[in-house]
Amino acid sequence: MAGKVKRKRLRKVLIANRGEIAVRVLRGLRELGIRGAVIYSEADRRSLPVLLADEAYPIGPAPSRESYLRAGAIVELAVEIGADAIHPGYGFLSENAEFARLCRDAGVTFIGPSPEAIAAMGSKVESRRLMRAAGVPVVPGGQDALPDLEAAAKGAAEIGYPVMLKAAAGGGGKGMRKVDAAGDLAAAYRGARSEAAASFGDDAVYLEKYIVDPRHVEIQVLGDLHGKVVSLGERECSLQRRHQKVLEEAPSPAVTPDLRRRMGEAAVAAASAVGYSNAGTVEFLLDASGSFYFLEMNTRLQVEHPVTELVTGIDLVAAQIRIAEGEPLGAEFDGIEPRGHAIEVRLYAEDPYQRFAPSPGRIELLRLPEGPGVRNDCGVYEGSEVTIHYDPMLGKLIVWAADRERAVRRLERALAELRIEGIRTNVPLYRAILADPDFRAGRLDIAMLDRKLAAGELRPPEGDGPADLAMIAAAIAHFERASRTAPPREGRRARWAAAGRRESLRGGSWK
Amino acid sequence: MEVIVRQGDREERVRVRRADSAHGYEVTVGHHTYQVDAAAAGGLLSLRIKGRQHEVSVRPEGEGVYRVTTAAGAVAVEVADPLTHLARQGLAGKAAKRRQRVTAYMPGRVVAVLVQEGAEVKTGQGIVVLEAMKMQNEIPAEHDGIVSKILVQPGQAVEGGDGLFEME
Repeated sequence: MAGKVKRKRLRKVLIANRGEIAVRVLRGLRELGIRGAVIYSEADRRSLPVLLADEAYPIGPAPSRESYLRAGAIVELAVEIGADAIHPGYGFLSENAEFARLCRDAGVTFIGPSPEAIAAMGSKVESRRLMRAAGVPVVPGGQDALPDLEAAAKGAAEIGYPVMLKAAAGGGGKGMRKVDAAGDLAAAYRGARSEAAASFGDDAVYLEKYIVDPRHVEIQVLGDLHGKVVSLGERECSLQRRHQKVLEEAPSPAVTPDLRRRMGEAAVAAASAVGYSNAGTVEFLLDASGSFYFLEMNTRLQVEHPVTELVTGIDLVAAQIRIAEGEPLGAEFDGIEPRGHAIEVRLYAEDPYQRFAPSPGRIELLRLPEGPGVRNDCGVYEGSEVTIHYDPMLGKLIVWAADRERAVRRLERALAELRIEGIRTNVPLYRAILADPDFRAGRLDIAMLDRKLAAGELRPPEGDGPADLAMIAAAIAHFERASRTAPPREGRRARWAAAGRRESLRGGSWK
Repeated sequence: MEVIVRQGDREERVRVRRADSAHGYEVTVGHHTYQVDAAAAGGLLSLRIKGRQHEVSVRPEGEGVYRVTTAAGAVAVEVADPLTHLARQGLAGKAAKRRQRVTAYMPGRVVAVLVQEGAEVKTGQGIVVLEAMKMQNEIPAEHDGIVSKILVQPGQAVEGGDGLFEME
């Protein structure tokens, strides 16, 4: 590192984000005695982060492009209000190298890595090149078009079967062929090229190693400004729908202590290769034989950071702030091993049985689960409006328990307690996932959720109430609504009794 | 009160009357009679039947339509008085055409129209693609039939409740 690192206590931090992550960062700041300022769009004036903030500033109309993505305006605001630093959260500008640069040029500390590290890991080609140079395994293969069958055979032999032939000009499964052995290559090569030509007008194909039933396993890293990088262990995030993570857990059921050590070393090497500092995540594909391959690096704090916090006892937001203040990572960050098991689910305002259609509206009732081992990182409150302008994530529900089996039961218990009314949510999908035998056994791969959803599996488990329960409830509700409009015909005593009944049912859900 | 209650494929004659206790009801569903103690609790409903407690929510969603959430999940339940029910049955005779207008459930922008007017479609087939909340959603045909009218075009902004297409 060139020059000495200045230690500078932060006094005020501007959070360039919204929703649950803004709340998370505010909590971290408050615990460190640092003033928290937030920006809010017109749609977010009454949002939870604003209510919890020390200072709050309007940043524009609802659309993200006119508010949370206004890099220049946000940096100017930070300077104007005397904020020492900006925390970018995740999404929005968090992995925007230009935004990090603007902060640096304005003398505002960006709570994250350098613009150079963000840029290096932001390019797929560049990051793979850097990883190879650092000795970090990457998915073998590349994007060079194969000129002929001989080149394909040679490349496949080098990579090792099974391999994938992929169309250079497009995706969606077209022009793709899995090849299990050398004998199948010629036919697959001809088929892939002609299908690519037919689908994209370009018959170029390239080779990649076919990774059998991969898991998505990522390593949390922290780097300080003095050159030290540590691994805090892994998270398993294989349950994804169309490449969006749906459920995350730590540790991974597939990772042994030895594999954890090796993946941790690879992740530290990856981060060091770009001079990484602050929090980051190195994503790998892990195959059934225990080989792992670099996928990409996320140069920010991630949505699923709580599962790592719960199994390591390390407060990642606090670590981010201390790192940004120039503190070196002390011995308490060395040799971290996970304790117990944590699982996180993301609560979304969408209906999983109506093609995941978003469900905006007012949250009329919110009862979050509590009790042992339950953590809520919720970004909304009862009465909040969920709008169409942003990602419909309401927050996260995370549980911790002594082992995975207990964590699964705890999460089932927590989901049974959870009540959200007024909008549809994806909670029924989680109940179905937790009941699924493959999930319970820890048999996960990145295609599993899409596969089960496409096959019509993952319907929520039946309750054990009487079959007529819903009809009874609706009939009673209807009866009460009807009796409100009808005049009482009984005598005085009966009228008191009726009033008493209505009183006991007041506040019920049939207004 | 006597009503016809419909849930999914089930249709039952249901009678509700007050029972003698403070929160009591006697509810007969088909041939089965239940003694039910119902108490409102902070926006939810606690039903006690033979000592077993069930916390449910009942949300009115239109004339006689309720969304009921129990431990088993959420279902739509329709409650109609017997005369209205008979009248509806009469209208939906074999000769009557079922014309259905599908509306936008939220504001958004029409990204694509996937079929032409007059096209024969199957249940679940995508008809229109709406963009909202940074995501695209395919609006499907709810049953087999013919798309009789397309009411929007690509690029058009729609409000919740605006018609998207009509089916027969």
